Amino acid sequence: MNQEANRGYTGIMAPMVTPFTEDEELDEAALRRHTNFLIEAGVHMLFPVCTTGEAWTLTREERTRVCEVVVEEASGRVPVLAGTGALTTRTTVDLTRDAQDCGVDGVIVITPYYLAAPTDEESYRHYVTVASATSLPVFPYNHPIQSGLSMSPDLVARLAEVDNIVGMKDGRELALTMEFIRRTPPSFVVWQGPDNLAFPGLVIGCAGAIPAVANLAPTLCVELYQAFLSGDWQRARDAQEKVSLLRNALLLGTFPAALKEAMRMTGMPVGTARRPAGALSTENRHRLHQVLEAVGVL
Amino acid sequence: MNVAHRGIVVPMVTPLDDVGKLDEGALRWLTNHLIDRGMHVLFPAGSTGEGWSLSRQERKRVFEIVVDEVRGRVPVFAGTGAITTRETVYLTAMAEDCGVDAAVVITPFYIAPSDDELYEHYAVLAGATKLPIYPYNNPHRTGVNLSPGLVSRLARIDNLAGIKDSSRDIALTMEFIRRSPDDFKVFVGPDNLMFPGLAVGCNGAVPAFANLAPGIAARVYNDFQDGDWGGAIAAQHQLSQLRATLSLGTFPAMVKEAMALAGMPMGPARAPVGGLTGDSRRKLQEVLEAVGVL
Repeated sequence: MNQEANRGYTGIMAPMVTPFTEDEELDEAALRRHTNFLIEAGVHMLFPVCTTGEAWTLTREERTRVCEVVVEEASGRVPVLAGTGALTTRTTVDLTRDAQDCGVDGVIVITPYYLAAPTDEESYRHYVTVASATSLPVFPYNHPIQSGLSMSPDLVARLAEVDNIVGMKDGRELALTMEFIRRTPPSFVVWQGPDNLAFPGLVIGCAGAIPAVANLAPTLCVELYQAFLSGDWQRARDAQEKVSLLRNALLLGTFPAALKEAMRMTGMPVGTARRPAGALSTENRHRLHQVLEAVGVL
Repeated sequence: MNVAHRGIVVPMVTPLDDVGKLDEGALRWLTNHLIDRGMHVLFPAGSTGEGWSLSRQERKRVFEIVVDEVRGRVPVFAGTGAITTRETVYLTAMAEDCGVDAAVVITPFYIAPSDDELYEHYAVLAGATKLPIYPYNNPHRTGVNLSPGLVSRLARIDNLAGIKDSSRDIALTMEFIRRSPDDFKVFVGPDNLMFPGLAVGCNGAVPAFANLAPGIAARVYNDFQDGDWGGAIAAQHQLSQLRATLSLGTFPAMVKEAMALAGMPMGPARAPVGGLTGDSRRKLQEVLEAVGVL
């Protein structure tokens, strides 16, 4: 399975929240704390400037600063992969070069979303252009529910032939993930995105998982991965159940407001989500608290 | 005799002759063929069996023949779902009289009942029969998706034995497993999710292409049981390639065409479902050759 071939990009990747101060400014001290917290808890890769990190709210300068801080604080202990996807090829290239200058180890590039619904051929040119503009490994990111666009197995098979397109992040539809794995060389890295598919993804041959819950409960996610690796599927499924319960609770607010609230409850304050995402209702805060207790995070 | 409700549940095609009548001889042959190939449960008159196209009398005849031919060797699950509660109760009672072992009951389709109405539908049905009942969730075909909350309520009914889930959403399947008691059986629907379904704790799977290639489905299941996950995944990839031929025509025409190509003629699907075009048939043949069925 891929676990052997893809050493270096395997395991749990934390899609990092972006800590903000009370006036919605980047909280660099909290970001440094969080970087260390995740590494010490054993996560295998860090992924700043992602969906969980409210990337769409960050200015170009803020994205750069987040990457700089995380790279500096990680100081080579784990790979740092930065999100650099944007609506246009031009902006994606700019953000990718910014990230490369910050010293990240690779970039994760979501398909163009919202306005653009490119054809397979346009998507292919998009990624080839980005890949040729950087020496970094490039990981396309397929997230049809958020982007409204799903990559086809044919497109992924073609992209896998590009030198520095070395893997991808997929989300949601497991049968499609299997098809991506089948149609690409064993060295091509496929990560599964959604928290509640971490274990099934590993089982079908994904190299790793990218659970948002890793911000809150990194040791639980690492436990899931280690249990899977050791062949103890029952223990992995038990950990998956807890991860899924936490993930369901994150839907109690506009993403990622509930995650940030949960982190406040567990003593790792990272501020609130940027508006228009608002605070949780009192009732939902109570329910969130109950789930954290039930799962044993509190 | 194997009476456990687990393993590979084959949703049997319904063989038709040239004039579109039930081909009883072919149905008897298929029944024995699948049992001989190690399939664990037979499931006539499901979606693959074009259950929606069968008259009451035809459905009854299908159940009679399969039960008669099985002679207790494996459990028989009967497809008895309909749009109304009344018709569903009728078809289920009919199946019970034929001696089947359980009923697989698709949610009402076309209409869009509320959770409470769906609960009432299955509760009334379960109260009207002694058979174990397996609700069948197939939102892409029916427009109705069973919620984890509803399924956990249904699981408390005595003879509500489990569920068949063809949602294609393994995260939802896992929720069904998590929110129901251990003895509540969960079967995963589409061919291309058989291995992941088993891995997350399903009791079995319902692959349409087990009609054509019971050996491939058996490898997924048996290798999984033996802990040979590499073998199970390799067989799963073959099964998934077969499943991908659904794009070549209207279901289940490609299943029947594939069986004809493999020397097991089952006749055409009932109109309006038509045969495959020449081009599609060639592509189907290529896939069958690639996975070694031909």
